[in-house]
Amino acid sequence: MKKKIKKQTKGALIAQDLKSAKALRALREAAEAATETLYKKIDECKTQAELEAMQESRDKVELYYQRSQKKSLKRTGPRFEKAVKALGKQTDKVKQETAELKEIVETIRLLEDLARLAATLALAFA
Amino acid sequence: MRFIKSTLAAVIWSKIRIAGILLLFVFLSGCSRINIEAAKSLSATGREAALQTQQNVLVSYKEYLRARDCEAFQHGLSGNTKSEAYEEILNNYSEIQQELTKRSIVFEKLADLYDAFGELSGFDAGGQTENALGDLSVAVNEYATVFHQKPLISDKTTDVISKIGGLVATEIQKAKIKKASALIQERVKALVGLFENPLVREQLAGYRQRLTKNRKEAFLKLWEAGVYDPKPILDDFGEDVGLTAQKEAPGIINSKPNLGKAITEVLDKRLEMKSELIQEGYDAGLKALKQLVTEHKKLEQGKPLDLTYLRTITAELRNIAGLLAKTKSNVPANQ
Repeated sequence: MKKKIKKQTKGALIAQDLKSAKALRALREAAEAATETLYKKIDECKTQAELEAMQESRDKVELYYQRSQKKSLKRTGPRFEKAVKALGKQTDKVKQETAELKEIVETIRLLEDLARLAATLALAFA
Repeated sequence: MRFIKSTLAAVIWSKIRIAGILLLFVFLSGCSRINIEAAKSLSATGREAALQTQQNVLVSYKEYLRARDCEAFQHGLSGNTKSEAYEEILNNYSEIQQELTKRSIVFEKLADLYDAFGELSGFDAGGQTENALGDLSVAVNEYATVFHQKPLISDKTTDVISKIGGLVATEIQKAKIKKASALIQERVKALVGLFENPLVREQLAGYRQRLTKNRKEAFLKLWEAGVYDPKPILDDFGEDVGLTAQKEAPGIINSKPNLGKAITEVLDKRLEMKSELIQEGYDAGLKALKQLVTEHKKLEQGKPLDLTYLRTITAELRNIAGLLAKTKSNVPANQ
């Protein structure tokens, strides 16, 4: 049951992401078109007021796109944070495995030191 | 002293017994099939793939700065430099860039994980254990000679103990590599899922394309104004037959409007290709991550790895990143 709910939630999330992706893309294309138009028509403007009006129209579309991009980045941000955290955790685990492996050699070296110490002590007290 | 002597002997023989049991257990668990050398190579290739994917998937600082420049150019051109909207647009550029930079940490962490994996697989556990056990036997025998006794462990036994110890350590290492590989595989798989998400793709590749198109419009405006020297592009045309454009070429092009339009079209298409390359780079990055998952699976199953394919994808990633960053020759100058 839990698995089914998890699957359904994931499915809903993907559907929502797809919808947002399409909307964001449409806004991006609109911003691209507005910028292209501005550059094409800029020389046709006869007064400063016309120029400014044209720039304002383009900026409006650009801002719609940028605001949506920011909003959507906030939506996916936690997923990246989760991924970063998990990667860090796994790195620590792998490092721990290496440390454990090195410990095998270190333990034998300790035994070797112990034997040598014992020999030295034996000679000293002989 | 007698106590130490008996303790040492007991420790050594208990180690041999433990080693034997461990060896049997490890062989039975099937870790023996893991190829340590392959794991070492995979860690290096995985690290490189992570860093190359980072370059192809995210907006670089240079791209961000250029995009801001183009925004400023555009507002300067229209004389609209004091508006609130302009200020907000510039602020948004930095905020979006900050958010995107946070995402690049994912690849840095993945590279770190591969570094840790490289350390695990690069450690010569077998050789070092073998040497340490050999040295231990020598120390024990030296201890025996202090009491004028025969060596406790013969050379032959020392050899056997060292070899078994070395083998056990190698098998333990293989088991650890298998475990680590499974952990990495799980993480890389999660990253594939994340970057395959259509929204994430649009946020990263789509945004990069937006910046490229913004730059393209600014560049074409300047090109049409005649501020650029078309020589490099004309030289490209002549390259097949070993010819370069003459000094007067810009003047000739200016005097023939059709030629000017033709060169503009070439530039337009080249810049469009850059935009397509962004999607290609993103796809290649995803392909590299997916291939890493495949290679980890093979490693864990003891199958031979095909790192050549992974290296080819990494080279493709490097190539795309190079083309996108290129400023001279086969992309327009000053782009």
